Amino acid sequence: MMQLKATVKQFEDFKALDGVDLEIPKGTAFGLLGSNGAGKSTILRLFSGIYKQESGEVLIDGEPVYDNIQAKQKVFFINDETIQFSNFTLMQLKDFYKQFYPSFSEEIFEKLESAIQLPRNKKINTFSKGMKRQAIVIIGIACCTPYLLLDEAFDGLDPTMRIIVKRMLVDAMCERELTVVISSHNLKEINEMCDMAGLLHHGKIVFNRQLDSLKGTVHKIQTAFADKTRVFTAKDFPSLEILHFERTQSIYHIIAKGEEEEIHQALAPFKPVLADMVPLSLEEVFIYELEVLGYDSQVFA
Amino acid sequence: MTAKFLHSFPARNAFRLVSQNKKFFIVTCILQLLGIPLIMGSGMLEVYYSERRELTHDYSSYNFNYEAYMAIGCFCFGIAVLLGIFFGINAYREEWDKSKVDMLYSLPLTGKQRFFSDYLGGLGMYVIPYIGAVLLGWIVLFIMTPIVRSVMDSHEIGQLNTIYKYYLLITIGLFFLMCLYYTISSFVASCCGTLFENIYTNILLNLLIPGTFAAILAVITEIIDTMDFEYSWEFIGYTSPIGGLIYLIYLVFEKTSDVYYSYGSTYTASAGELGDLGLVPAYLRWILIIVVLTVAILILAWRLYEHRKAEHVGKPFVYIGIYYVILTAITVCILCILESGIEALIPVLIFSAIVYFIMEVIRKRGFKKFWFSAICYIITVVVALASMFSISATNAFGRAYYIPALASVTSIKLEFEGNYYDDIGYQLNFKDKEIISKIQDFQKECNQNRKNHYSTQLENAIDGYYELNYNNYNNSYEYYDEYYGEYYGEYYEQVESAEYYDNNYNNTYTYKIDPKYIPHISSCATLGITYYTITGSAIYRTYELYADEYINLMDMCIGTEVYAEANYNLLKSRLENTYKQYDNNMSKTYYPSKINFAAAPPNTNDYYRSYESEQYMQIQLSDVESNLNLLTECYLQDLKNMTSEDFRTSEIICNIVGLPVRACNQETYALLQKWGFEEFSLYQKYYSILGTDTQKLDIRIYAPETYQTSSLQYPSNTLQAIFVKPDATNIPSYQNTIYSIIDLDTSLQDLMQIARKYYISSEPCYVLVINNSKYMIPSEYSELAEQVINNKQTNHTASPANQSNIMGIF
Repeated sequence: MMQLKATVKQFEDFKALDGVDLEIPKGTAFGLLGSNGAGKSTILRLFSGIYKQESGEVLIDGEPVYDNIQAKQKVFFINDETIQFSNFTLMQLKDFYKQFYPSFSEEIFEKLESAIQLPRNKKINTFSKGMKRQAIVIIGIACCTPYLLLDEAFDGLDPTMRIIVKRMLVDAMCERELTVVISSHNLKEINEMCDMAGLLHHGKIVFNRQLDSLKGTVHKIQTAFADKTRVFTAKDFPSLEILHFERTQSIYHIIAKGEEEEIHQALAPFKPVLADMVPLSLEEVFIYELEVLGYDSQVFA
Repeated sequence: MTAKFLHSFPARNAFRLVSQNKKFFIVTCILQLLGIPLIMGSGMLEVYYSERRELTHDYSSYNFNYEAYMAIGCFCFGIAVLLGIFFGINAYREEWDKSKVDMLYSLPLTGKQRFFSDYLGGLGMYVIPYIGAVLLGWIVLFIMTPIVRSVMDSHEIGQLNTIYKYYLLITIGLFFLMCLYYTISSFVASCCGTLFENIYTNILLNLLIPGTFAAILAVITEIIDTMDFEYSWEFIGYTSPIGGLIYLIYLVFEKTSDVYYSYGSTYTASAGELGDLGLVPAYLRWILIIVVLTVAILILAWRLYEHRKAEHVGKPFVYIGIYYVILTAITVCILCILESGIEALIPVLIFSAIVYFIMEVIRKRGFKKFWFSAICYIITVVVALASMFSISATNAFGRAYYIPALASVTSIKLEFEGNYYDDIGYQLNFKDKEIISKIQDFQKECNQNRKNHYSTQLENAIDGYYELNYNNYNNSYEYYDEYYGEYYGEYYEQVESAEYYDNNYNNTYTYKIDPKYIPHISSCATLGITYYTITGSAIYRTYELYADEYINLMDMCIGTEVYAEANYNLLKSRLENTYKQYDNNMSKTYYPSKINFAAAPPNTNDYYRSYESEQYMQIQLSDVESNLNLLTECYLQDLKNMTSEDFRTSEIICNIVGLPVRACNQETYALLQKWGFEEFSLYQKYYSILGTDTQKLDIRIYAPETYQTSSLQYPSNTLQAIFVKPDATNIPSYQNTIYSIIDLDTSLQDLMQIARKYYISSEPCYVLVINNSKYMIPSEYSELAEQVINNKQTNHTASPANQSNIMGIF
C-alpha cells in the first residue's frame, strides 16, 4: 500500500501539498486528477523518493521512501519528460536499470520490445519522443516493481501505441498485482484504466474513491417545476449538496451529490413536472467539483 | 570484498558515469599520455644532447629543439589537468537538469551513495589517465637513463637522482592538487543548481580564493614591515590548487636552491640534505594539509549534497553562501588596489560597484530587490575597508609584533641576508632558552622602535660624522626639527645649520656616543627571525635592522658556539668548493698539491666576485688540505674568542672566500701573515668598488682648518665631485663637476695609500672619508691632501672649521 499521512510539501513560499492524506491499496490502478499545479507530480515524486516531504509521512508498504533503498526498489517512476540517460542505447539502458532492480525480467523485456520493435543499438537521443516514451515504459514494466508511477505517461504516443501500452499495463496488473498510479489530464484514459481516482486542488485532496462509486454519487438533473412563476435558487434545496445550479427559461440544470433517491426526495416538495437524471462523465465530475472550489471554466464566458 | 563493491549500486552508478563520458575520458587519456612522457622524454633527450656536446666539444651538432616538444607536452598536460572542472561538472550534470534529476533521484540509491559514486566515477576518469601518464613517464626515464648515463661524467650522474627526486615530488604533489581541484568542482556542483553558475563559480573560486589571499597578504606585508610576502606562499599554497601549484614549484625549486646555496653543493643534494634544509618536512606538511583540506571539502560537499533537494534544480545557487564568498572576494581584490594610495578610492569604489552589480544581475537574472544588493555592497565595502584600516592601525591585530611565549619556543632561527659590509648570508639556530629569551627581548625592542617610527635615517648616521642635507620649507621646518630632536637627540647634536639658498638648509650633526663603539658598517642587515614552537608551527618575522639594532643583536650572537660553528661551516664548505678539484675520472674531489690562495680586499666581500678581481692577493700554498684545515680551525677558535667589542671595533683586514678576517682574529691573521699575506692599502681596498659601475663610492676630504667636502660617487663610470666651502658671508657655495672615472688622479691614489685608520696625533690632520669610513691623513701628508682638494676644487670660500668634532671621531 502507498500512503501519504498529513504530508506537507513546500517549494519556498508555495505549498504544493498541504496536509494530504492518501491511501492507494495494492493492485489498484489509481488516477491522480487535479488542476495544474495541484500537486499531482509532487505526489508521484514523493512516492518515488525524489522529493522529501517537509512534514507528515510518505510510506510504501509501511516503510518511509526517502533515502530508503528497499522502498525505492519497489517503485519505478516514469516522469513527464522524455530525456532519460540519453547517451545509452536501449540495451544499455535496460542493462543499467537491470542492475538496480533485482526483479528485472528479461523475458518481459524481450516480449514487450519485440511487440514494439524499437531499435536496440541506437542511442536513445536519436529516438523520437514517442519512441523514448515506449522505451522507458517497457523498461519500467520489465523492472517488475510492485509499484509503477506514470506522470503523463501517454504523452507523445500515437493512438495505436497508447492502446498497446495500456494493454501492457493491464496485463502486468493482472499477472502480478501491479499497482499503477497515473497522473494525467486525459480523463478519458483515467476513466478507462483506473479503478480509483483522487482529485487534487491547491495541494489538498478533494476526493479519493472508487471511480464507479464516484460516478454514482454525483448526478446531473434536468428538471422543471409546476409553479412557473417562481424562480428557484440552490438555497431552495438545502438538503442537496449542489455543485452547479443553472436555469434556462423554465428548465433547471442541477449537478448535485447524493443518491438518486435522496435527490428525488429533495425535489418532490416543489412538484417537478420533469426530473431527468443523467450520469456524469469523469470530466464533468472534475469540472463541477473544481467549480465549487472556485476553479470555474465559465470565468471567461 | 572488491567484487561485492563492484556489484554494488554505487559502483554501478559510477560505471554509468564512465559509460556516459567515454569520449571525454579518451580525450583526457590521449592528452595525459602525450603530455608527461613528452615532457620527460624531451627533457632527458636534451640532457643527453647537452652532454654529448660537452663530451665532444662539438657545439654545432647534437642540437635538439627540446623546448618545442616540452611546450607541446606542457600544453597537453595543462589541458588534461584543467579538464578536472569538467569532470566535476559532468559527474553531477543530472543535478541541474530537471528532467534528468528525476531519473537519477528515483534510482534505489541513498543520497550518500549517489554523491560518492558520482564523485569517485568522475575522479577515476580524471586521475587514472594521469597515473598512467606518470607511470609512462617513469618508463621513459628508465629507458633514457642508461643512454644519458653513457655520455655523462661520473660526477654528474647524481643529476639523474635529482631528476628522479624532482619527478617524484612534483608528480605526487600534482596528484593531490588534482584531487583537490576535482573535489572543489564537486563542492561547487553541490552548491549550484545550473550549469552556467557551476562553470563560472568553479573558475572564479579557483582564481579568486588564492588571489584574494595573495592580495590581502600583499597589503598586510606592505603595511607591516615585519612580515615578508615571500613567506605567504606557503599559506597561499593551501588555499587552492593554483596556489598549491605555485607553492609546489616554489617549494621544490626554491628550497633546493637554498640547499645548493647553503651547502655550496655543486650538483646534487641528497635526500638527507633536502631533509636538513626542511624541504622534505615542508613538503610532507604541505601534502598532509592538502589532503586534509581535500577531505574537509569533500565532507562539506557531501553534507551539502545530502541537504540539497531535487527541487533545487534550476536555482542558480542552492547555497547562496558560496556566491557571497565569491562576491566578497572580488570586491576585496578590487579594494586591495587602494594599497597603492588612498587617492584611488573613488575610482576603485566605482569599479567595484560596477562589478558587484553585474554579478548581482547575473545571479538574479534581472533587477529584483536591487536595493538589497546596494545594501549588501555598502556593507561589504565598509567591512573590507574597515578591515584594511584595522589591519593597518592594529599592526595586523598585533600579529606584526607577535612574539611567542618563551615556554612554547623550541628553537629559534636567525637568518642574515647580509649587508654591504658583511655580505655573508648565514643562519644561526639557537636552542638555548637563555639566548632565545635575549633575542625575544631584542625583538621587543625592535618592535618598540618601529611602533615609535624610529627613523631609518639613523642607520646612515651611525657611522659617525654625517651630513643631513634636506630641503625644508618654512611650514614644515619645525616639524622636521622637532622630529629629529626627538629621535636624534639621544645620539646627535646639531653642530651646523646654514641656509644656503631660499629655504634650504644644510644641517650638520655629529654623533655623541663613544666613538669607539661605532661599527664599520654603512648599512644594515635584513634579519629573519623564525620561532619553532612545540606545536610544530613556525612564526616568521623580518626586520630591516637599523645599525644599532644590528650591533645589539650581534652582541648576543658573537662569542656563542652557534655563531662560531655557523661561520666555521660556511668557511669550510666554501674553501672545499673553491679549491678542491676533480680527479681524472671526475668521480671524486681532492686538494691539489699547490694552490693560489686568494685574500680579497675588505670591500671585496662577495664570495664569487672576489676571485675575478684583480686586486685579490694570491698566496702560494702547499700542503693545501692541512693548511686549509688549520685555517678553518684558527678561524673557529678566533670566532669563539671574538667579543662583541671586537666585532664593533676591529677592522677587517681582508676577506677569504667572502668571509671577513678581522684584526682581532689573531690566530687567523697570524696564519695568513705566516703564509705571506700583507695588509691591503686603502686604494686596494676600494679598487674593486671603483672598478664596478654597480657600487657607489663616496669620497670626502675634510681639511683641519676649513670646512670642505669632496664627494665622489660612482653610479656609473663617472665621478661627481661636490665642493663645499662657506664664504666670508657664511653662505656655502656648491658646484658639481662631472669627471670621467679615468680622471681619478694619482694624488688621490697616493692619499689612499698613506691614509691610516688608527692615528693619534695632537696635530691638526686632514681626514679622508670613504663610504663613511674615516681615515686620518698624517700631518706630514697635509700638502698631498691639499693638492687633492685643489685639483678638484672649482669654488673655494672660507668658513670656520669644526675640527674638534671631526677629530673627535677618531
